[in-house]
Amino acid sequence: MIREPRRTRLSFTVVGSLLTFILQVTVAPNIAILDVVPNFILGFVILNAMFSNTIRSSLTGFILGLLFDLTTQGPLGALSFVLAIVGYSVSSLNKELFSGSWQVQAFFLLGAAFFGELFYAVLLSVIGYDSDFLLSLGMRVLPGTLYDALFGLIVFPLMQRSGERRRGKSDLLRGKLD
Amino acid sequence: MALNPNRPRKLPGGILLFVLCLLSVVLLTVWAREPIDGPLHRAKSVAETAVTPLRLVGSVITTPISALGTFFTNVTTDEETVAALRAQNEELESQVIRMEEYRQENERLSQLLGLKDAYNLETVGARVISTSTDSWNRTITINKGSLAGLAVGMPVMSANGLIGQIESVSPYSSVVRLIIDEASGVSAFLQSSRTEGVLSGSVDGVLRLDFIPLTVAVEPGDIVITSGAGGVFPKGIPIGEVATVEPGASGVYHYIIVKPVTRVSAYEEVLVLIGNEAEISPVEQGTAPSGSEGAGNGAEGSSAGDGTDGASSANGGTEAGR
Repeated sequence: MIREPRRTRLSFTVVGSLLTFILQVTVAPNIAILDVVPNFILGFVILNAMFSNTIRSSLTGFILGLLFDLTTQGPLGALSFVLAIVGYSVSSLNKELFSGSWQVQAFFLLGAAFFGELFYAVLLSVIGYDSDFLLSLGMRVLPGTLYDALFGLIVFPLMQRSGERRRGKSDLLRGKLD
Repeated sequence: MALNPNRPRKLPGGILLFVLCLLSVVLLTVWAREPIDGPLHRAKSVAETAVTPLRLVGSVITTPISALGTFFTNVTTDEETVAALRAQNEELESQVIRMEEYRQENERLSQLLGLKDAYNLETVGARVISTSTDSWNRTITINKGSLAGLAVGMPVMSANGLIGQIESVSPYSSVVRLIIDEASGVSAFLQSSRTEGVLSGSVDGVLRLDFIPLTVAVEPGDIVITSGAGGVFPKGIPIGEVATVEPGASGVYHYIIVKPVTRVSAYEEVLVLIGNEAEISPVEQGTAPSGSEGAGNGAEGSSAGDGTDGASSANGGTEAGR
């Protein structure tokens, strides 16, 4: 029996994480609209969790969140906490959800991005880092959600296609051996 | 069902999540409680140094996109705006001539009175290499750090006025928290009435001047400058002008919105004031006679803005002595 190549999936997560972090540091600050900076890292953690198990998803979320915390002025450990939970939650959902129509996928991405942004905003308010939660909701959470989901909608078809190609290769190999 | 003893035991996702969350909470707590030179803050500084080249690359890559944005903004500028800008330019030119007269007069009077410059501040010119990578902080990263003599808390200004304060320093770069950030607070006063208040940023990036009593007359267009109280920011640095004034909800103070004199973006130069506070405070507190301060010429002096790399001098202070 031939299983789906695990190394390929792992390399995808590692390379994807690295590229996302580089994008966040180099591109994100320069494409901010009205001071709203897209959070590519949140977008990638959601997408990665849609294709990975709970362990890898939460670990990826934690590491990327920690990298983000280390390179921004936010409190250290806040985003790693949020992204570990977001990664785990998304990965725990039934994978059948993600193979529906693009409207369903878009709605899911939007919902997951909103959950991540809102969770981070609530955490910052609780620890006293954010002074006006309601204003932050309107000025940061909602526009940020749209921006993150847009990134997800661009990258999601690419990831889906790459996953199908990998599955196709596995099936082909399995057929030859059978 | 019998368990297979040879099968490797897998860590359940739930337990791992619990461990990761616990680790995050520990990090959050330690980071909040440790001193500014603690191990986690140092780790942040190291990470900041490591990503500095990436930030530089990002600035270079996205410069054409930013330039394109500026180009389209300029193209869509209507004739009325151009005419207004021309008129403003002429007015500013005449102001510069008048200011030069005042400066020369001030120099002569200062010599006569035997006054030395109130602030003999040393500055370091730096370039903005990045803006904030998240929506929650209004910060900029500059290309000078502790190796250039920069330290946490130093005021940062552009050619026009105050823009913020250094929040963290690594050897080759520093992060500056802008005055429009909600965590910023600057002691400032109105140039016209010399009434002191606290200027603070907000979530939506609006600058508010608080604690100006309703008994004080405030008009849109009034200039707001640093008061020097607290010893962090030297006195007389321009910050902005009053945009709107309304009676506050408390019925005691005005609700004043201030329009900053400057907005920074990537690739602009800024000046970091590296002069030590000990030089500033005695002069400010000791020689400034209350109620006899002038019209704030020191403000103009401090915005000399010779933003060249390396050390230069920003003479900001004829004000305290008058």
